[in-house]
Amino acid sequence: MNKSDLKDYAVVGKPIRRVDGPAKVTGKATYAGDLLLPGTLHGKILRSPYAHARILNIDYSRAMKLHGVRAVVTGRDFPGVRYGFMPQTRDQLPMATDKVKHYGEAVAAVAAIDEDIAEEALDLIDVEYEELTPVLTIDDAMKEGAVIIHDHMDTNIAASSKMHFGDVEKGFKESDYIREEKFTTQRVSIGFIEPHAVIVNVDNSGNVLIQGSKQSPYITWRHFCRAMDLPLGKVRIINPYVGGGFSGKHEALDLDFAAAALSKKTGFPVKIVLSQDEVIAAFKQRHAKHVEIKIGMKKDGTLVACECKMIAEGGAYASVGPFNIVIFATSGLLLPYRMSHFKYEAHRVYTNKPWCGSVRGQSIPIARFAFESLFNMMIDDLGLDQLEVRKKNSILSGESTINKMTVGTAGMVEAIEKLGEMIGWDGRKKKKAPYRGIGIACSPQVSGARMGGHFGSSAVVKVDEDGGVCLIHGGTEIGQGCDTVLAQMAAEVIGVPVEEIRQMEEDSDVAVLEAGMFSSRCTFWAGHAVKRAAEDACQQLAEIAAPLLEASKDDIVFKNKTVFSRKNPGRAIAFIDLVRNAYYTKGQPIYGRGSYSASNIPMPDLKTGEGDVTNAWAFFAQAVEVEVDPETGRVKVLKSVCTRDVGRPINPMLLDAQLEGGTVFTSGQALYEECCFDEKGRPLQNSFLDYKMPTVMEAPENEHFDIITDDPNGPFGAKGAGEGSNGTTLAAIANAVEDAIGVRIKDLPITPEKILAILKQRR
Amino acid sequence: MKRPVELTVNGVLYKLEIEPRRTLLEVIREIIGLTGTKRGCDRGNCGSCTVIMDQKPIASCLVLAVEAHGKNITTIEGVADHGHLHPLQEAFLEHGAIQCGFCTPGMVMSAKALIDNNQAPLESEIKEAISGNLCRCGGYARIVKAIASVKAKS
Ligand code: FES
Ligand code: FES
Repeated sequence: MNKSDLKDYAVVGKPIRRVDGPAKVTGKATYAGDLLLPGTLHGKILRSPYAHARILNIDYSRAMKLHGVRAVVTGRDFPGVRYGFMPQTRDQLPMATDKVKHYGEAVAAVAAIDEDIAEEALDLIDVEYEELTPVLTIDDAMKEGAVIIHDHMDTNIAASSKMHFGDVEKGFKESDYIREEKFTTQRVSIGFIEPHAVIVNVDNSGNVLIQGSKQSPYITWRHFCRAMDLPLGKVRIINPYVGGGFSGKHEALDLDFAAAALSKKTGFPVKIVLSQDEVIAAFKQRHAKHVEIKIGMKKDGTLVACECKMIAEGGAYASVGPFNIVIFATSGLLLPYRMSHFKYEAHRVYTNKPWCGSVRGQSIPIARFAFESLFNMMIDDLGLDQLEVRKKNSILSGESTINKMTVGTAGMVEAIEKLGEMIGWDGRKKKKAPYRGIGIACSPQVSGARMGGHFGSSAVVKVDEDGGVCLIHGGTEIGQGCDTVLAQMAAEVIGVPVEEIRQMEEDSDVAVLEAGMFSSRCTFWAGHAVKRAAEDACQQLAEIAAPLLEASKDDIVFKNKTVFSRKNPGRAIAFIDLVRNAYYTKGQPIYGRGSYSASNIPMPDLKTGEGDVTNAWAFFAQAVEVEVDPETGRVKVLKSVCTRDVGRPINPMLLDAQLEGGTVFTSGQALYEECCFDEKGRPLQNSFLDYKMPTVMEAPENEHFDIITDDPNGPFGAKGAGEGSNGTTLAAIANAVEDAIGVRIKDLPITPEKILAILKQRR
Repeated sequence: MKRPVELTVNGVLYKLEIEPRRTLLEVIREIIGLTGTKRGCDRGNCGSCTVIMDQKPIASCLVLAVEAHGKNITTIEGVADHGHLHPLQEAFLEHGAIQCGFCTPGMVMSAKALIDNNQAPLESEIKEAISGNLCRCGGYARIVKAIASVKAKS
C-alpha cells in the first residue's frame, strides 16, 4: 500500500489486533467440544466398513443390554426426507437406511452415560450387509453398464454444465499458437484441527437446540429442518467458536441428526465429538479432477480462445458439486484474462467414496492450476515474458467478460507490475541458481457469488443508554476474522473504539444468521449490512443531535466518541450525552438495522453460465520461489510474494494471515497431500500421522502488497478476499517447479517420486 | 478400579480418583474442567493438547493421568498472570498469529516451554519447538515471528 492510499479512517484499514484474540490466546474461547449441559449423554456412531453395500438387517438388542446405554438409533428413526443444496440433487439422508454408499457412512448411533460405554456398545450392534461392487473412479462411474450408486437415478452423473461463448472453433482458427494438455488433481482432506462436534437437546415440547462446530449455521439449520421434517421455528441453532472450517462444516452432518434423534429418545442432551480418524476417513474432501484444456493465442501472447473439459469425481453425495463445476468456469477460467471465445463441458460424477464439495478456494485453485500451467508453458514456448503476457491479457476496470460478468474495479495489471518489482523479475534470469525456480500465477476472487436461495445479510446495532454498542451480525467467526472486521466497520461509522463494541454468537432465534461463510463473502455482504445498521443508528441519533447543535442532521459527524457538525467542529457534544438524551429526554431507544441483498445481480444461469455472480471481483498475483533437492526430489517452498487488489483491506494484518495460511494449506495439495483408497474403496489414511499436512517446517516467508482500488460497490471500498491465495498457489508452485527442473508435472501432487523419476531419466 | 492421583495444575493441587486408562487430557478437560487444552486428534499427531509438565511440553493425550501423579502441570489457563497476559500471548495478538484459535493453546504451551528454558532461541529452535503443532489455518510464519519477538525483547 502506498502512503497516499491511506484515507482518513480511524480504524478501517488498520492492522488492529483481533477482537477474539484475548479469548483464544488464554484458552477461554469456547468451541463445541467444550460444551456440556446438565445430564449430557455421550454419543458414538457406527460406520460402514464397506464402500458400497446393502443393509439387510440391523440388530442392536445386545447393545441396549449393556449397562449405561440409553438409546440406539438407525436410519429408520428419521422421516426419510432427503436433503441437499439444490432440489434436483437432494440425495442425502441423516443416516443410511437401505444402502451404504461410502466407507464410514453412518448406520447407527448410540447414546450412553459416557464415551467409553458408547464406544463399547458399537461393537454389540450387528449389521448384516450384502457387499456391492464399489464404483471408485471416473471410469467406473461413466462406463457403459456402470453400477449405479443412487437407486433413484439412472446414471452416476450428479450434474453437468455446458457453456459456449463466442465461437471457439473460429477462435482457434484465428490463433497463431494452440496447445492442449491434460491435468489431473487429487482428492485432499480438509484437515481442520477441530473435529466435528455437536451437542443437541430436544425438550419436552420437541424444541431442538443445536450447538455445534458450524461454519454456516444457516445451512446446517435449513438442511436439518428439512431432513427432520420440522419447521424452522422448532429448531434453534447457536454457534460457538469454530476451529477451522475451510468449507467442511456447512452442512448438517450425521452427528447432528444422530444427537438429535438420541436426545429425543432419551430426553437428555446428547453430545457427539468425532475422532479425527472418522473425519479424515469418511468426511468431506476436495474433488479429484480430470481437466483437458486447450488454449489459443496470438504470437504476441494475446489470449484468443479456451476450451476445457472437466470431470469431477465427487463421492457418494452431490453436496455443492453442481455449483463447483459452474464456478470452475465462471470464477476459475473466465477471469482474470480477457478472451473472446470459450467453450466448456463438465460433469460431476458420483463414486463410492466420501463426498466432496467445496474446500478452501472452491474449485478455483484447480481451474487456475490447469489454466495458469498451460498458459505458462505456452508463454515459454513462444519465448515471451511471463509477466508481460499476463499484464497484456488482464481484464481492466469496467470491462465485462464474454459470459457477461461485469468487473467494476480491477487492479490486476498493477498487481502484476508490483509483483515483478518485488521479486526483481527483470534481473532474475542472469543469476538463476540451479534447482531454484520462480513461478507466477494470477487469480480472480469473487466477493460472495450469488447462486440462489436466501443470500441476504442483515445486522442490528443497538446503542445502550450508557453509550455501549452491541453489534449483532450473522458472520461466523471461523478464524477468518469477521468479528474484528465487522466491528471495525461499525466502530468507524459510530466513532467509538473497536473495544467498546460487543458481539454475540450467531443464534437463529435472537440474533441473525448469515447465508453462510463461503465464497469470500462475509466482509462484503455482512460488511454492507453492518455498515448500514450502524449508519441507521447514527441517523436516529443525528436527528436528536441536530437541534442541540443547531445544525442540519446531514452535517452531523460521529468521531472519537463525540458528535459535531462538520460546519462547526468546535462545538461538540459527547456521544454518551447524546445517547442519554435519546433515552432519557426523548424516551427513544436506539436500534439501527441494515441489510444487503445484492438483488441487482442477475442470477447466473447455471445451464449456460451466463450472467453476473457478484458485485465486485478481487484480483491476486502471486510468485513463489521453490528449491528442489536433486538427491531426495523434495520441493521446498522458500518464499511467497502476493500482490492484490482487494479494493481496500479492512484489516490488512488479518488478511495477510489468511492469505499466507491459504498458501500453506494449498502447498500441501501441490506437493504431497492425497487421500488414497484401496481397491474396495477403504481409505488408506485415517490419522494425521498417515495424512501428512504442512507443518511449520514447510511454511514459506511471505510478502504482500495492496493495490488500493476502493471499489464503489464494497463497504469502505472492500472486496471479498479471503480465499485469493488459494487460487494462485497451486499453479504458482507447479510453474516454479518447472522453472527449477525444466520439466512440467501435470498430475498433482508433485511428489519427490515423480521428480526423482524425471531427474533420473535426464541423467 | 479408580486410583488416587494428585496433580498440581496451574498451582492448584487436585486430589482425584481416576480410572487408570484415562488420559491426562481427559482429566484436565473433563474432570478438572479446564477446556482451553484442546483435543484435536487424541493420538499425539497435532499438538493441540500440549501442556507443560515439569518444564517439558507434552502431548497430554499420550500421557495417562496416573503417570502424571505428583507432577506440576501448566495449562493455557495458567499462562496469564491474574489477567495480565504473558509476553508470548501479547506477541501472538500483536503479530496476528491467531486465526481459528484451535491450535493456539498448544502453540503457546510449546513456545512457552521453549522460552522458559532457552531465553534466546534461534529461529531453527523455534521451528523445532512447534514442529509437532499443526495449524491448518496455516499461520506458522506469524507464530514463529511472534515467538521470536519475545526472545528479542527479553
Ligand atoms: S490431541 Fe494430543 S496431539 Fe492431537
Ligand atoms: S489458528 Fe486455526 S489451526 Fe491454527
